Amino acid sequence: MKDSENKEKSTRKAQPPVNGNFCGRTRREFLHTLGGGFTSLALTGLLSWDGFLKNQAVAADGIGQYSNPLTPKNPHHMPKAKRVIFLFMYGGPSHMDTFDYKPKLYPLDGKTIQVKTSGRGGEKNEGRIVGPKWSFRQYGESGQWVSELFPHVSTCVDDIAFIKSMTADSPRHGSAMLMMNSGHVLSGRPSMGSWVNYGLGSVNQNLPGYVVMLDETGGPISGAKNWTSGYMPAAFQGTVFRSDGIPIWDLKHVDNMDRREQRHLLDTLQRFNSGHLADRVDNSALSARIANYELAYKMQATAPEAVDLKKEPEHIKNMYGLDHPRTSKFGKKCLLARRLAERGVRFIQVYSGGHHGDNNWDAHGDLVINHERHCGDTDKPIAGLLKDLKQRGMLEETLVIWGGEFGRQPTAEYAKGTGRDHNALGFTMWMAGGGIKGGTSVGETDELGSAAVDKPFHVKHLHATVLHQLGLNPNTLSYFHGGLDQKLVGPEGARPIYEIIA
Amino acid sequence: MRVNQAFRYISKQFTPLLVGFLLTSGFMGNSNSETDYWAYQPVELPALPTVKNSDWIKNPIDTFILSRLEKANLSPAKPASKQALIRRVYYDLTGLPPSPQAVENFLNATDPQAYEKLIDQLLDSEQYGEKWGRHWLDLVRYAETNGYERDSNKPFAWRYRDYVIESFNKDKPYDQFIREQLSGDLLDQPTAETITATGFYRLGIWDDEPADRRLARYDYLDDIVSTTGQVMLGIPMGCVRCHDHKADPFSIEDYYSFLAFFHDIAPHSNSPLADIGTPEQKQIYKAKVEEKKLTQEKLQDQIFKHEEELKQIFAPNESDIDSTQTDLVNLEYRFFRHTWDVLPKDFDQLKPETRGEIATNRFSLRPASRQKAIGLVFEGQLRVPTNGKYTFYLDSIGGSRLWVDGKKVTELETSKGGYHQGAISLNSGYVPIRLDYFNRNQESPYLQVYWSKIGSAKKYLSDEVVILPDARSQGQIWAYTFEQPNSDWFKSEFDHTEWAVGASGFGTNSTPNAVVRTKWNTSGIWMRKKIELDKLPKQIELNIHHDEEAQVYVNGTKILHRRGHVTHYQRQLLKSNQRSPFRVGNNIIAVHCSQTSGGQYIDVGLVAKPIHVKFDDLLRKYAKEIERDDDLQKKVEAYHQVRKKRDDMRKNKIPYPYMALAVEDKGVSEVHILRRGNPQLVGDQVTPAVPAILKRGKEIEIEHPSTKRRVIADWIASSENPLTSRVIVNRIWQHHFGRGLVRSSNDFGQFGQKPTHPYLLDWLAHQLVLSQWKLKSLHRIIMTSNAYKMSAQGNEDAMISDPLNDLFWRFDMRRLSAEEIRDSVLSVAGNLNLKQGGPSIFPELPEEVLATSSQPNRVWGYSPPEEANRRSIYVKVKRSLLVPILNQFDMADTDSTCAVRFVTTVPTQSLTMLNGKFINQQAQDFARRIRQHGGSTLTQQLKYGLELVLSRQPSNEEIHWANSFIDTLVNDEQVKLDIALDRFALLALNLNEFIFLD
Repeated sequence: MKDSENKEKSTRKAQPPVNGNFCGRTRREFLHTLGGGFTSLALTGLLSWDGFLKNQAVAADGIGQYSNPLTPKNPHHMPKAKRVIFLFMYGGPSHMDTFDYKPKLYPLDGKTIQVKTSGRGGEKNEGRIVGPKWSFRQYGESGQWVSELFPHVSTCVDDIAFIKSMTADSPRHGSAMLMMNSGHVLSGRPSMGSWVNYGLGSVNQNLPGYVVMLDETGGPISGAKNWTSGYMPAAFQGTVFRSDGIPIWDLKHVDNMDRREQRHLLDTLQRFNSGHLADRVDNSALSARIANYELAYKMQATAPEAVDLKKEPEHIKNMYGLDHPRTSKFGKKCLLARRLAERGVRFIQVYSGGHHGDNNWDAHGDLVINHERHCGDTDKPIAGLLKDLKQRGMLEETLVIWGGEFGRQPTAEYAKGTGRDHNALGFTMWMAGGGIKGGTSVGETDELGSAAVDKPFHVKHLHATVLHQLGLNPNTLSYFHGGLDQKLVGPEGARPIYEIIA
Repeated sequence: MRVNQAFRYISKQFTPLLVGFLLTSGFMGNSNSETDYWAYQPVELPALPTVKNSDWIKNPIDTFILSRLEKANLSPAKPASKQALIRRVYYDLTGLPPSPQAVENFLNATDPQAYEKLIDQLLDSEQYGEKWGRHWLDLVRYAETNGYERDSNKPFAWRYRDYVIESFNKDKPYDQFIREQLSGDLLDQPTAETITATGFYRLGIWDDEPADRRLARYDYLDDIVSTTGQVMLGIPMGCVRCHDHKADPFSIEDYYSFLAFFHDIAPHSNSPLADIGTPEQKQIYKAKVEEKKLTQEKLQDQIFKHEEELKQIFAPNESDIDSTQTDLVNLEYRFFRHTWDVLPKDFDQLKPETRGEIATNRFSLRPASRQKAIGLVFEGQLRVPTNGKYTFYLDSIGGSRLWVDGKKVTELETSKGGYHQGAISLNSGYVPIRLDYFNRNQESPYLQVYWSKIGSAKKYLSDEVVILPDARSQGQIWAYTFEQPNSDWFKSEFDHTEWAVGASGFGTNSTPNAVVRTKWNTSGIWMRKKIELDKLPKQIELNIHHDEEAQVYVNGTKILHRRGHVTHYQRQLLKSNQRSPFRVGNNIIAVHCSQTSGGQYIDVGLVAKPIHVKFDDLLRKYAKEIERDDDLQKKVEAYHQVRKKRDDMRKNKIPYPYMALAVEDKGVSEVHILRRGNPQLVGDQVTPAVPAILKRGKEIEIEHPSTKRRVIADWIASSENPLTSRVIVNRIWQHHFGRGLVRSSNDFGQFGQKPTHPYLLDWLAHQLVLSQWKLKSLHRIIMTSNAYKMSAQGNEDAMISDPLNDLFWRFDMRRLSAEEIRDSVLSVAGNLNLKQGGPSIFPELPEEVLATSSQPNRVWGYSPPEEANRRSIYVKVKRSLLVPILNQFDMADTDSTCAVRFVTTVPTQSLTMLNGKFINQQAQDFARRIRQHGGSTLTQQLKYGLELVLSRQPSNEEIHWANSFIDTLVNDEQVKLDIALDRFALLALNLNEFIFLD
């Protein structure tokens, strides 16, 4: 009943047109664009169309009706989390070697048994088991199982909720990446960070609201499609942030124009633009563009400050593993993630792994070499991030997500070796902070870890949980496109994973 | 009344307000009867309304606009200045700024027809098609790659882009434009142009390894249905895929009936290409290829001769000399990893895992990285020594298929495979040969191919030679007994004539992976078989499937003893001591197997794997001998030269250039409704039909299934279709006035917008059909109206009563599009290269942008600067990597139809326009242009620069601002004058007036 009411609400906003600056998008789309399509603003529009938008159109700042799409917006309900840090383990970590303890798998090592799998190598009915290569132990007061691959993360488990019965629609990287990032195996949808910024706006206009940090070996396959805003305006797309050098493209002048020089340029530009505006005060886009030069000017100062780690004390840097070459790269990104979170960036995605082959978690060949590399690179930084957020009281309102686009199979991919193929039928992801119930574990895969059997959850449930924690209703946060109210969680909606919500 | 039901929930709480809303939104008025909905009514010529201020009327457009303004007590804005107008006209028709000369000419023109002439001149320019073609490319989600993991190229996609540009430039009637794109291959006389047009079907995203192939097929069809529906008809059909439309009168049956028109289109693939070469072009190409082939064959013959001769000289006794000889040349392979049930017919549609040359020129399973779930395609040429009939023999575990000289010779599609053969008559010379092979799940697969002319010896084409086939391929006749024989039963000389004979394998059917031809169900079996070897292989592999205990003897020597039963064929490479009992001539293989419980099975096979001696290895081996002999050395050198020539020729392939991305049908199949859009929930069968609401009593007739797409194309491109003409005139209006008369130009349904001027819309639609669907005449009518020539100036009264300019009391300003911004910057800097058409260009991308790709070094191409400075419509559209300046300024999303672009304003745009490499390089070139052509004084130069960006004479005040900017930089900041001028150029390119249009 609740759902159907929500659906009705979301389809009710066909209304008269708005100003041509929105270029013929329907008022419905316009409201979605501006307001996140949720009840509060839509009702405002509905109740006081005459007053509200006409005033918007001419008054607002006294210049025009320009509205920044990233203006902070009210959530649907009281949020538990203010922001998200998504640690994306690109390539697909093996769940049965990290967090999903499968004791019965060890003695089966090398035995060929009947088990249905689906991966890069097609569908198979039997395969040679690769026993987990690392031992597990229980940690924390809650007794969560963690393998020896994560000696540091294992000390944080009482803050972590494990979802051990994740499923996704595709065992192929291309479509699976799109699914984890945008909720659908088809290309063209906005990514989760776009949805979050569309729904909530950004509280810091001097920094992007949605930041993506890539692995030093390269981006994930499909590149920019993973942080695209799809059919939404480009203002909602992820901004690639570099952890070394200049964080944002074009933040610094190509031939180092100095700041005073630039100030003169901007002042003169302002003179011209003001002169131009004088006869055209009703066009808010003109004043918006003028304002954006000032924002850009400020961003040139704030963004380098955000990535300047000089002021971070040594012991904090060491928490993230900056003192060790292996952990320093991912550690720096995690530390930057915290700094960006402090400065109001709404959605931060950090990739572990890029490029192809063993440069990411895609362990087709030698599982041991691959996972020891990537776990070793990320374990301490992840634990450092969780502990640092916690000691600053930020963890409560920062939702941290860990996981890849899928997991891996219990069986070997090739005749020899320990490599595992992709597995979208069952895998583990975890969340911490942001109103998540720490020290919990929900769902199970079968004894082999080959497929989710108890309380299976889909990627859309994960997305629903993220939106829910941010104060957004996943089933009403919609965007009108192609004749449909599109949602991150798909047309049929999805419930949050209440089992892990505090 | 579905829409109104949607309001039930809130109406309970906000009834009074809701009624007000519904009245203003117009829903209550016309949702009573779906068939009365305005957009489905035939287009009729509306009567012209009467107006008071008839002086303002230039053409009927003005009448429609003015009558509405007068009713609202508003008056139209005064005419735009000539400066504003020429800039508006240039950008609207060409997407480029006017040159200062063009502005001056227009301002000084005394000809009363100067404006009309200017419009005609611009409509006739080549740049018109580049500007308006881009609008169409937005609609049809034009991109040149497929997206997803590989984001691979759509070869020749640019031909479709050029087709669109040319179609606009030659003022192709719009109905024909639609017919060509939907059914260019089915017209009475398809041409290269109309085939290229069908690239429309291939522009979308395509996942070459979808998780669910059936669903992916319907996703592909949905992309076509949604795009066609929205772009050509203004119907958002996509949402009817799963259920009836919530507001519009379209049912799920309508959707699948509409989809049925496209259902026979062959699936997308890596190369959905059609040959569009003219007979002359083909002839030229064929001659080139033929010439190359002949030369190559001559070289190949020479190589063979050289090798023969050299071998005779320095290696006459080399035992493996035969293996350097092969009848295959230029053999290449493609290797696939996938699970198939039968040998696939569509290898060419699939993306190979690896591909390459096979140096040994023999069919081989070696390129496969594993044994199971694999596919291989081999292609090369076969050297046929003399005319005659040849038989080809294949023995493959796993299915195989052989083509020779373009004809299928033999095929065994099952996953088990086995022995098969076929014969074909061939003429001497080189003929193409192709072998397809797959193995689903057979253990120890092998592939043997040989051929012979009737009456001649067989010659192997594969690197494997089956000495003794196992039961999976052919039953072999063995002598056997179930009774314990004499103790010398395994010796060569033992006489087994008393034994029974039977075909292998021996056992009971219940044994896993067994192929039983002779029943054996006792506790033991003894078997003997004679095989003949004409030479001793260097490698032998033994395939065995056996019960509890198995012993294998060769010529009386035990070479193998295995304990414990197995469940499938095992492959074992024989060591030298196991190989040593084999000899040339007759060999006796003796096998004993025993079992104590369960089903029985025994079978043995032998495969020889010759070590191929490459000719190079021989040369290396005899290097010393060659060195000692001058004459021989010269011969070897000559040989190497010929080989190099051949290898170079092989590398330099002659690509066939006359190809286009195009549609193709795959054959007729049934279409069913898929409930909730789920391919598993198959519902009632449907036949191709147009949506019921649009039938208007007329059933559409399809004479033959293969003409379906032509039928739907004709139906859409008909002057009687109420939507087609309205939708296109609305788009033309949209791109002149910044918004359509129907603002939601892809959605003419209930969720879309009502037309602000329905009669004007119909009048324009009527005009278009009257003028044979020619768009240029529509541009002329629109642009010569006084409505179009209004200024963008605000007016307080009007802003209060009509803030959204619903009534067109003024002309709306607009920001330039992404392409217009980049092209204008290039143009002002004096760098724009107006070259037209051809393969796309790759402007330089910053490293930081390339680093976002998983293959930073391979993802983007290179164009020399002059090429890189071509118009933006020619920039490569790669789905996973967007050119920053175009992306930031809201280029169309590439994955679905884009009718209206966003106009966003964000600080990162300012960063790129101030700090980016592209803009600063252009600013420097712009500054150089100013210095060279602006005049001798700084003031003249600054004036010239401003003139270029503003398309007008700058005011004295503006020149003063520019002067004092330079002055401050030079005097206060000690910046060199040259650099200061660069900074001024950069400033000029950032002006709002440059980026916005009045």
